[in-house]
Amino acid sequence: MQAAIKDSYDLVIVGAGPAGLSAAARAAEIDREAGLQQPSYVLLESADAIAQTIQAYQVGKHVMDEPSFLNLRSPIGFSAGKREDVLMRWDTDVDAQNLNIRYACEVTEVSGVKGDFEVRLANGGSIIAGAVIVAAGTQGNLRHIGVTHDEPSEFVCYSLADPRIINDKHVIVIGAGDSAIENALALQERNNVYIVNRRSEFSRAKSGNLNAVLGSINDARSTLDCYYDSSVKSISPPERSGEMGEVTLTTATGEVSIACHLVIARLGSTPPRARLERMGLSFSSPLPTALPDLDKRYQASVPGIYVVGGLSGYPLIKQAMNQGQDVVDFIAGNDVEPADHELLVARLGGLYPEKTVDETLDFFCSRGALFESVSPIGFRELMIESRLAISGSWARGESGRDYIDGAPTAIAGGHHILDAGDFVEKFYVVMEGNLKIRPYPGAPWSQVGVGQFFGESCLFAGRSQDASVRMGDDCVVIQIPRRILIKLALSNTAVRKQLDDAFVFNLLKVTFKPKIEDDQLRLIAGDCPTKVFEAGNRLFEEGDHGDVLYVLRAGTVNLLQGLQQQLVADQYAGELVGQLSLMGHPRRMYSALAMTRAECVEIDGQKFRALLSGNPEIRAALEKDLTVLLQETNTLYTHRASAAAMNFLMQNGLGEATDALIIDSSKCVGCDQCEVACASTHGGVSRLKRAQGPSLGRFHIPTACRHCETPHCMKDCPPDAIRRTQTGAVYIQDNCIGCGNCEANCPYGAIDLVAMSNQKNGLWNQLVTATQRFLPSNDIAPQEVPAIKLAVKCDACTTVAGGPACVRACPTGAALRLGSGELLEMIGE
Amino acid sequence: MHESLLAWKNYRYLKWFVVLFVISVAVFVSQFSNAAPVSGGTWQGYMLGTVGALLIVLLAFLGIRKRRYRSRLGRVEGWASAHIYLGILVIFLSAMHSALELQSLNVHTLAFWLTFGVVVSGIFGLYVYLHVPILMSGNQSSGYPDLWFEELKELDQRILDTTAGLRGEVVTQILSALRGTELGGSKADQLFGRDRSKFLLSPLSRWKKNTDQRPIIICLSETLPVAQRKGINAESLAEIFEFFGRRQQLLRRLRKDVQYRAILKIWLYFHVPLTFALLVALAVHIFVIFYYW
Repeated sequence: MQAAIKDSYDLVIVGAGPAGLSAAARAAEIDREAGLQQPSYVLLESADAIAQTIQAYQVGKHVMDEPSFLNLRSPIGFSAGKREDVLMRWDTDVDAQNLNIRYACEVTEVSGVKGDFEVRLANGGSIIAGAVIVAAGTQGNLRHIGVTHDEPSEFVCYSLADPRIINDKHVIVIGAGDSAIENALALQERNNVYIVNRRSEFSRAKSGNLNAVLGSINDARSTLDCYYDSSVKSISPPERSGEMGEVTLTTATGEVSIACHLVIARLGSTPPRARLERMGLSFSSPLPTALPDLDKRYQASVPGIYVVGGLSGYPLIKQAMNQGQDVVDFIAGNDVEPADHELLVARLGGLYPEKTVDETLDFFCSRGALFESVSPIGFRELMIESRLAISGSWARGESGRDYIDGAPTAIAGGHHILDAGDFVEKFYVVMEGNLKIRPYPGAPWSQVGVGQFFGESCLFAGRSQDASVRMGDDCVVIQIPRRILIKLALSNTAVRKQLDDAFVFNLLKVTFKPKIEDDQLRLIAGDCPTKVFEAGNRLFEEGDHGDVLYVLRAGTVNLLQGLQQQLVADQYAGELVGQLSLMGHPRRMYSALAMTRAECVEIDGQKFRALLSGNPEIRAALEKDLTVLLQETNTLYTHRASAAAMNFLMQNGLGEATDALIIDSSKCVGCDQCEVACASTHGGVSRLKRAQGPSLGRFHIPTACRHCETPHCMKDCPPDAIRRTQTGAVYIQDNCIGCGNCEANCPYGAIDLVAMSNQKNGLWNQLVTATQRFLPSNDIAPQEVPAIKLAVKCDACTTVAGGPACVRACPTGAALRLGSGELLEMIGE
Repeated sequence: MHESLLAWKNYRYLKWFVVLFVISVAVFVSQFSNAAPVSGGTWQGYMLGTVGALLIVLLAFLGIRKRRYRSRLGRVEGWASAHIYLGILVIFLSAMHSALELQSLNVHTLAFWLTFGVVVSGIFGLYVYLHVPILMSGNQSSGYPDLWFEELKELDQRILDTTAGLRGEVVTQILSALRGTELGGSKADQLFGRDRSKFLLSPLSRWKKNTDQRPIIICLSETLPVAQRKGINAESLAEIFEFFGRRQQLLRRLRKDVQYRAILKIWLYFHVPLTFALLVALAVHIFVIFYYW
């Protein structure tokens, strides 16, 4: 058969995931239309089956088809469903369309020019290609063990979909990362497991996994053992299926042979960026999150090489499949509009009738410096996720038009967009006209003109802001969701730099409120370095001679005092740290410890004093702030009990809380009305667990969402389903795909994956079963698992009129919702 | 910290209580100028009775309001605060309404005594609500019940594992002590913190009380000095001895917690049924009054 495969193709597609399959199927369609007998394309897959990322999902996992607003455009079928169903459908389609796929065919290098690429393979062969589509996904190729017989087989595997089907076996897990540990822990319940660690410790593991695995290894009763400082020397597979094979390890004390039924290697993967760079592709920045430079047709900086799917920055299946189809049409010279064209037409709302969609996007990009360095495909994505707000003449005739989802919103000139104290979840860039802005209460109103922007202050700090913003007359503004802009800033250094400069400037403006000319301030701002202190590091030590002041731009810093390192204050984004040694006492009175990753703008003493010397008003204001801080710290320093309480609360993450549920256990009668109220206002599932969580004295912190300043859960949500309201409540939208990332990322266990039921619990029902508790149905046996599990968490009752149900239902006033500031006040009392 | 239940909105309902109390006493006292004797039949008596009956219905509505989780009609804490003050007021209103003509036993006096029972059980409940949580949170100063159960499970497992290396009657004693440990039990057991744990001295003996785990600990402490002589692994036994000590502490804390929970609930077993009975008796009382006008 091998001989029948020709090794020159018009098109080589790398990676048989959703994007690659879709591209191959479209290429096959074009071949059929042209009446070709031999395929003009080949699809290369490094593994032995399609869609490795989805294969690695847990068995029975529900795969969603977000974003719902996008239509699927592909010869391969796809709709939301169980992992197995999705994979089976793709397998069927691949067979039915007789796609030309080569499995176990890893691409190592691509060289040459458009029309004449040479694609080198790991097995030594090579293929000549006219064009190359890279659809390899972001997972990268799995690292292999690197000895004979290490190819995937019944004996050696590189993933573990379902640990429950392996029972009473001897299993060797190779690797020391989180996936190796998680596999080993899951398997040890019913098997004998050896974990092979190349080093003497598990340095890469998350702390939860680390504790669990060390606990198990050190527990003589457990069936998990570890070989440290060991590597695999050889593998001898069993002679017959089902029997034991053998693995020989090189350990610090010599060679050891272990008989086993199965070897699972979790050695991570080679990051795809290096491979793309070897092909000569350029990236938007050196940042690890940067994306390859692509044009509107997904063509990379090397003509003839195209990048689609996860690697191009589109993580969702449907997007990837659409791109797979579109890119093949582009290469074939078919003049099709991309699948998202209609969406963009709706977004732009025909504001510029004389311009095409592409021209309008180019025009927007050229307004102001912010988007200068953004790639066309990146800006397209940004516009799809954003909404336009329009006023005045731009909005005229709006009312007559049919309402289209995602079309520009008309906002009357002068209308409130933001008020002081709001959390900002959007970033505003002015395209036409002006926005009116007042940077802090009491400041004069000023204007934000074309190409200028607003909202950067909240992007990284995650706290409410001081500015008020009003819509201008005759205005067009792009409203970009916070997450999308953060994504852009993390992949594009030029955008990041502009946001940073603006941020520092505005931070200083608010800090040194009146009387400093913008120009003077801008000079200082441009000149202040930003320093990053990782959690646990110190900005300075008590007793140091201090000649530097920090303005905290993100994170929380604790001030500690005395031999006992007693906590005396916590400072948040937008606050000053270390001003005392510049204003009175020359030595640091406290040590400053970063509790979370803290980003600080550093202002040196000389500059600071120069600023103050000409401005007695600023001096007076800062001195007053300092007096208040000193009183607070003195109370806490001299009052041991308060300090202990504060320590406890900080250790339990209340420092980053904006709205946490605290129970005063001296009043709590344990009636669980809070949980029942929560469940009955939230589809029968309580978002808080009253009895769980730590306590100290009268403070009990139940397991519930704290609505963190910078929510950990929002970090890695593929459909961007976790949002924040202007009042700061973090909630999960309906487009959750149940991937579980947020559940894993939340350090407080406040998010559950729950099979949602819509069962109502009426008054009568409750009277009859008054003690009934609502619990997430996590422990349903796997066969009975309903298809969809979704992430649920406290939404601070944003959808419930009257505010948080837990607090309103508490008969004794034990349940309180507090931010970190209010907590401090309470401790002070 | 946050104000207490009694101090809701700066003692709003205490103020209501004082004002209503003064007014009703004034109304009551105004009867003495009448020619007719003081009773529920005067206009003052009717007025006190009507207000009392309306208050009773309003107070009973707390049971419904607290289950209407979407209701925006004030916070439950406010309702509870009003419930307490106005509930205490009701007993004064009833007394003045009846002019304490309670000599005979009929549906009218029954309504009074039921009101009395409801209010007294309520006052007990209030006392419990104000004091027991403090005791309970003191008991929970290190951990909470779910955590203790985990710990207990782990301890028991370790005892089982360590016992595997032992022989003789002591094995029976240890295993039966684990198996015979009881927590909770009947409502009365919970309420009085009774411990019905038991254990066996030897495989054929009868179950003996193991209250507070003391007997088994005494038993082990007696075996330990003679262990080596009897060929029992003294090291394992010493370990188990220590485990039982920790177990005793955990069980005490758990039992206390169960007891506090029981106390927090017990009064409702009187308060709520009495309230239903009161509502019925009140309805009959009013019906009878007007029927035989």
